Amino acid sequence: MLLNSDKKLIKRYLGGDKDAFGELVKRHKDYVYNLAYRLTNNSSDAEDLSQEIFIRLMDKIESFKGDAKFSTWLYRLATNQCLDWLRRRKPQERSIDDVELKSDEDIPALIETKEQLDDIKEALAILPNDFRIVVVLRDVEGLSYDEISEHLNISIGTVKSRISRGRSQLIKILDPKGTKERVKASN
Amino acid sequence: MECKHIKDKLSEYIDGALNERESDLIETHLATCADCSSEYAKLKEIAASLGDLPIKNMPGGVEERLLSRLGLDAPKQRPFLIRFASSPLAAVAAVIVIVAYVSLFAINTPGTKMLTDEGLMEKSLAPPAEIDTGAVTNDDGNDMILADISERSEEDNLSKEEPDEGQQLLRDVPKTLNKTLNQEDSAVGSSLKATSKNYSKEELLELLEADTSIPSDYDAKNKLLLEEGGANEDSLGNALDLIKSRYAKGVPVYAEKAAYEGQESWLIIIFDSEIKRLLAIKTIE
Repeated sequence: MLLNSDKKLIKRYLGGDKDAFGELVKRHKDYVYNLAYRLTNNSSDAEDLSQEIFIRLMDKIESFKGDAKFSTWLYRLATNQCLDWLRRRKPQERSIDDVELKSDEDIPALIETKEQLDDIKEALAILPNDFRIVVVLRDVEGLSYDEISEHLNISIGTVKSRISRGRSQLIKILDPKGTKERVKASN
Repeated sequence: MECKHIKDKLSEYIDGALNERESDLIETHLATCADCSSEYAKLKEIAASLGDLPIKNMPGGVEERLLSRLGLDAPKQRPFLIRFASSPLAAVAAVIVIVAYVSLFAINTPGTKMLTDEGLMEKSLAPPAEIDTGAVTNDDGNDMILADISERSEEDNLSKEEPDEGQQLLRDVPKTLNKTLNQEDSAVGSSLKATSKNYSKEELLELLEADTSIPSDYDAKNKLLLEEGGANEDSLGNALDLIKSRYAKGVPVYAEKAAYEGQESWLIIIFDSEIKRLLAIKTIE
């Protein structure tokens, strides 16, 4: 029902009915905002990012083919815009490639420089972008591995690996003591 | 199977992404390995905690700004001030309300002594600039005001629509305000018949000087519009909890016919000497 309605709204909008786009915004604003909020961890950035996403949607909506669910298409666009934004905003942040060069033992050292965090939100905020986005899509938004793979245009293998490593890093961030013990044991 | 290999697969195991054979292997291993079992419990907890994070819905203000940025109207949610933008003069009046409200509110705060009980009369001869003419009389000031309203409302068209007459009012109304402040304790008022006349600047000045009382018989048709302006305590909206007895003590400083939702209406701005704030009212005929 909603699927058809989305498509009808797009048709109406492309036919010149601006209100139809407003209706699309109303339907999907909460998903988009929540995603943006969880990825940026603050409401001001979430607002900026949400605006970017819908502006981008407006620009690109003509290219929506209609053979997929609109929500899937929009959320993919939203996810990519988020990734793009995160990379632009935090160019100094380590990319996943940098992280992969490090041994697991280096991670606790990084974490120790921060105050002990007991808040999952804070922990999420310090995860590298590429891990954070898959973890948010999987555990916050509840997307399947296939959907994440499609949204981010990465292989299923990469999705699995990043979710696994992302969650493991969250454990280490939240439980640095446990990590220390494990590091000692492995030495 | 080695623990490392098991641990690598635990995340997928939680998500039910493994085939039956792999799942069975993990299950068997977990039953006998405390270390992996503990890792499994932690991973599960992390995933569950993330899933339990409350959903952050887009706040109303964010949505409004978003729609505005997209160039989409949201008439139901738009602040009152924007609706009046269809009438350029009313839009100017709205600007006046904002500017005057902001400055008068500042006057009212405990930290500023300029017009406190002890200072009001002493300062009463101060030039209009003491209130807000500084912000409205010079060219830069005008830009500032318009920027101010656009920040609140994201309305970009005000400056384009502003007519010369509006500019003049912007200059003159603060003077009348200053006058009103000076005469706070006298029985200043006026009989403003909101439904019959579009007051010129001169007539308003005359009204302000007249030693009469503002009619207190506004009936239920009178509607305070600024109450729709916002929900925050600090916003224009809640500051204007206009009740009949209160605005009956006020002094009109500006009246203008305005189109409101397609209906011809009156926008009346009055200055409330009791709370030292500008209030706007509108009668809907």
